[in-house]
Amino acid sequence: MLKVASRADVAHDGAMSGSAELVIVLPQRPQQALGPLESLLSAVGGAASTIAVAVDRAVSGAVNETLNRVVPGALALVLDRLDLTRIVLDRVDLNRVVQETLDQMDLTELVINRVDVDRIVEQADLGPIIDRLPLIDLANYIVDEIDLPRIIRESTGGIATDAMNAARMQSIGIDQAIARVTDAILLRRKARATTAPGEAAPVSVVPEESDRESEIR
Amino acid sequence: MKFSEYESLASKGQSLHVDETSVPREARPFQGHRAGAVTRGLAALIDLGLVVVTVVIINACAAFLRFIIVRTAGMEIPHIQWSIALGAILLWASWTWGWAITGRSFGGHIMGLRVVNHAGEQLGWAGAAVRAVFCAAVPIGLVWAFVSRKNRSLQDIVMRTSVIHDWVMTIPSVPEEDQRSEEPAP
Repeated sequence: MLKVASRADVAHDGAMSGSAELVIVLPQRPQQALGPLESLLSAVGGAASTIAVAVDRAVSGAVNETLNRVVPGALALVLDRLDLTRIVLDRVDLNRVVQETLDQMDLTELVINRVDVDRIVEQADLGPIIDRLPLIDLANYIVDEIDLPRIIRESTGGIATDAMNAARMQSIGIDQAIARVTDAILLRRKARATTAPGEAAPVSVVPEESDRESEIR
Repeated sequence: MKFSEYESLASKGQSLHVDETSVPREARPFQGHRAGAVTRGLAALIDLGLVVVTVVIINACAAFLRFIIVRTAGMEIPHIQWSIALGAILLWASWTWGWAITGRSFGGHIMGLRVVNHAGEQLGWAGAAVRAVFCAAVPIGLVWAFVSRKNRSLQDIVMRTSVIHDWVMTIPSVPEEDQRSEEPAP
């Protein structure tokens, strides 16, 4: 016995709002006095359902308990009989697993966060590392960078040395200036070829001269 | 310059020789290059000045000795020809000695110059002596270095020598044969 009521029918109780709603009203069955047979049936039904619930609980509890006890033991027995490592090694593509794992991880970040680099360095044997370093080159580089000769010259060299170096540099400067002027007058375009064979032949020596130089040495 | 750059230069053989670090940085690019006429002229002038001073001292000593021994009337100054001859001989001797022993005359030492032959080696005694005669006799030959594309004087062209900037003062090395013979037998 369904009754479909429009909003207007239920508006009076104020419980519903909005518009064009469908309200389904299930009217209560009219209370009827139960007969003796019906009462008995009802009582039996209630008792049966209670018993069923109790039995269900008892059985499921027992089953769960049994499973809890049996399954781990059985699984352990099964696992004992299996060489799981062998199976994994045989059946799993470990390279792919590792590759996938590494792809998903930022290994550098991991090492930075998790590894105590200071401790590793503390325990590292520095000898072989130092053996691999170009120490002479390093020393030359440092001497060159801090201009050690200049420091030594300034601290030990007298005025005479400075004056001599200055005179040499000035004469070189004058030579260059004269060479520029002369070359300009003679309409020369290329710079003078002043490289010469000798022990002090520097960076810009031409290859054949440097070869000859190494032979001389 | 970072060390990595320095190292790459070193691997190309372009790093500094240890000796070269004693040379001021601004002068390093010129090391091993032929010197210009002015530098060489100054070196020659220093040599000449030294010779003049020596000749004057010798003349003074000679005059003083003659004054004492021969009892001359006052100090007699020797003939100028004698002085010039003595000076020329001294100049020739000092150049020969300097170029053959270290490659540098006194003036070359001051100006940081060294004379090398066509192979970049030091001149022998004969070569040094001939070059010294040539330089003392025809000093005007240096003028060609102003014009020469290779900064070579007339003497350099004839003798196939070069005068290079070499500020590195080195001790003459002992020949390898001598070093081996000095080593104790194992």
